[in-house]
Amino acid sequence: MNADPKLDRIYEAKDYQDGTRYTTQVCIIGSGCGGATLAKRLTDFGIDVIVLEQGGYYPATKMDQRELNMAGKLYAEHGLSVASDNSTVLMSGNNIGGASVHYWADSYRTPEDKLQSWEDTYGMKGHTLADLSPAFDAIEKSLNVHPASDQNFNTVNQKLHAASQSLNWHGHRVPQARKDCVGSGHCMQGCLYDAKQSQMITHIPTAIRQGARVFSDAKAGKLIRSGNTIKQVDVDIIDQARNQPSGKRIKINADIVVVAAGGYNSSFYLLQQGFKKELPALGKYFSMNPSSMVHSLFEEEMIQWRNIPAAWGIEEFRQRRFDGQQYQEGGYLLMPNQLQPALLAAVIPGLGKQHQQWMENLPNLGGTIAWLDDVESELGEIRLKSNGRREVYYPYGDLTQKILKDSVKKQIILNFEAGAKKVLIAGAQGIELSSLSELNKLEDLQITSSGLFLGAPHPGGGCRMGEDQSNSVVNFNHQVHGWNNLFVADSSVFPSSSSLDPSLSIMAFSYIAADRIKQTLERMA
Amino acid sequence: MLEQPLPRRRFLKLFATTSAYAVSSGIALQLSGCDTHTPLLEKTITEQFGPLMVFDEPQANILYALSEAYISNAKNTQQLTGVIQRLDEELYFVSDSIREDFKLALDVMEHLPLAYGKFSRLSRLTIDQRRLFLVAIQGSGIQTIRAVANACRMAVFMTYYNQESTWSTIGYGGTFSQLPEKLSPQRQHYAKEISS
Repeated sequence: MNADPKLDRIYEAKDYQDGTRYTTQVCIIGSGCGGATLAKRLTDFGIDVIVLEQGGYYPATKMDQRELNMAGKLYAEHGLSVASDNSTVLMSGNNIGGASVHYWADSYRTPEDKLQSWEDTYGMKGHTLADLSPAFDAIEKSLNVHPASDQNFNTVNQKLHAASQSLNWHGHRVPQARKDCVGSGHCMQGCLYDAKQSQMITHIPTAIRQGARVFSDAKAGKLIRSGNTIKQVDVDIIDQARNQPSGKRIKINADIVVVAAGGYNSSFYLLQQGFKKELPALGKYFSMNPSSMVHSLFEEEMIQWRNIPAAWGIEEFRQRRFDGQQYQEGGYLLMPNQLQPALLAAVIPGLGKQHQQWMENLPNLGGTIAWLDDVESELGEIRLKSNGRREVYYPYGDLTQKILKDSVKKQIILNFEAGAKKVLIAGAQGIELSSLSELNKLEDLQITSSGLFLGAPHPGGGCRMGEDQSNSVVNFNHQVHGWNNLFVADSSVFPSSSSLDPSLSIMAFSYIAADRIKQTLERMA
Repeated sequence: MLEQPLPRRRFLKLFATTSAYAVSSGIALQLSGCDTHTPLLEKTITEQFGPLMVFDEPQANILYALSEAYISNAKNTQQLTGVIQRLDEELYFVSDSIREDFKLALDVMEHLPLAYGKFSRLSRLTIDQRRLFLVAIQGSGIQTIRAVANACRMAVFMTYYNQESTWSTIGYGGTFSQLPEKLSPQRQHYAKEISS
């Protein structure tokens, strides 16, 4: 069958006929920040694109702000997937727009020091501040990125803002990709008001208007090769009701194939395709911004679940400080935390009366989160196990554990400075502190395997960018080493953690990738 | 919740290690005076809901016993059985590895008191005894025990406080929009399956 219908909306399972073959110039696997931005940019150039997304399409009309309902719609594995320590919760998108639909809308440019370090340490080319700046400018304009305004500050943000100033800890208004935010506080459940400028309502519709075909419920399967060229992508159509392949299959023939399945999945997909032998670095150098949390009890109401999650960020400790070889402090970004009650209940330690007391004080709870900048010498790895499962191995090395412990300490100091009467560390031991004089309770703090309740929503690496095939997967053109028409465009190409929320960095990298793909197509013509 | 499966050999090793740890740390002595008790459920889980899709009757009972111990402010049995039904539903749609590992975690929890010198399964301890035991192991020095215990704990609390009926007790006024639920195709499918 060679039908090739073209719809001016997102394709869903009912729109495909079994056996249909589609042809295009570029097939992009994944519709998150990397894939959607790439589709938008390529269609800016008039290039024909098909985007494959294995998850469903859940626009605002299908949202209800309920935590588990929306987790089932927007999160891979309903948000129940964990890393190799059996506890770090892995958060990623599984829907049109990917994680950008459930993220906090924090929109940072890649820090200059990070770009410099990538250039100096990993020989990164073509992705300098000068190369990326035009992309940042364009994306910030199209997504309405702006510093959080006063009206975005809920009480938690106000108090932590004041506390950081009184501690003389340097902070900033967090850049936000929003338009006319109503302050519902349901960013993690998807924005019912289309205020958050997710990929689903920005780059995806723009790409469709410009001719892209965007396929939801479409899981990329086998890559059919001929020599060092990908000839075809086999696609399983997913029955969303059962969350299983429907039995229907389509085929995509493309001049170029781009893997943009996100930090947890791009390297895994290529591992499944058998690329490990020729690409020994595949899956390695994996980062995930593990994040620690502290809860705090105030005398007044905080209502942490309303308004935007993080209007104020504290970068005082973003970079690690050493005294000679000895780690002193830092290596993370501090922010106010925001959780709705179900997830908050899960990360409040204890049980019975202890847990109940904290929950019954819910309106008075505040708290913080620390996003750890992964230690380059202690990165993890995405692995394909013999049973075909994915393993997200993360070693939690000595320095990483020291940084996590320091991040908890600084959060405690910050929360008490903000006026908290009691602080509770989000970890299995359920350590409570009534004042800073009890900081010695941190001495025996457990870190891994639920010692701390850690989340990891910012995966990166696994398809590291570099010159040498022995220690990288793609070259500086985003092209997989040794392959004529296979590219990667998402956070998996980062040489190490991007330090801050990676969404804007991923999008800017996709601008560069689009330029390189356009050049490749021109050479092929 | 566990991406890493616990094969039988590893479970037995864990069991042996835990026993040694429990004895050496004195936890076994703390629990040694416990009496056994059968959880009070007038109807079996299956009688209440019909057959579940993921959990069998013993697993549902373990989950009920855990919920009863973790949660001290449930107004009625339905709020606790609601945890079982929603977890059954959530796990029905995730990958086999997550589903099977969670069921294995329940089995581990059920038999773990034996490793701590208590000749009873978890679900047959009184609520107070269960709480005492669960408090003792949640910050365990054995990483896998700690992870298993907290995976169960977190799953129960997350599904419990996802229920609208619990919100008034914690001062949560509901979602911003106050919209009724919009069931996904998966939730509709589950409802059909469970009623057929």
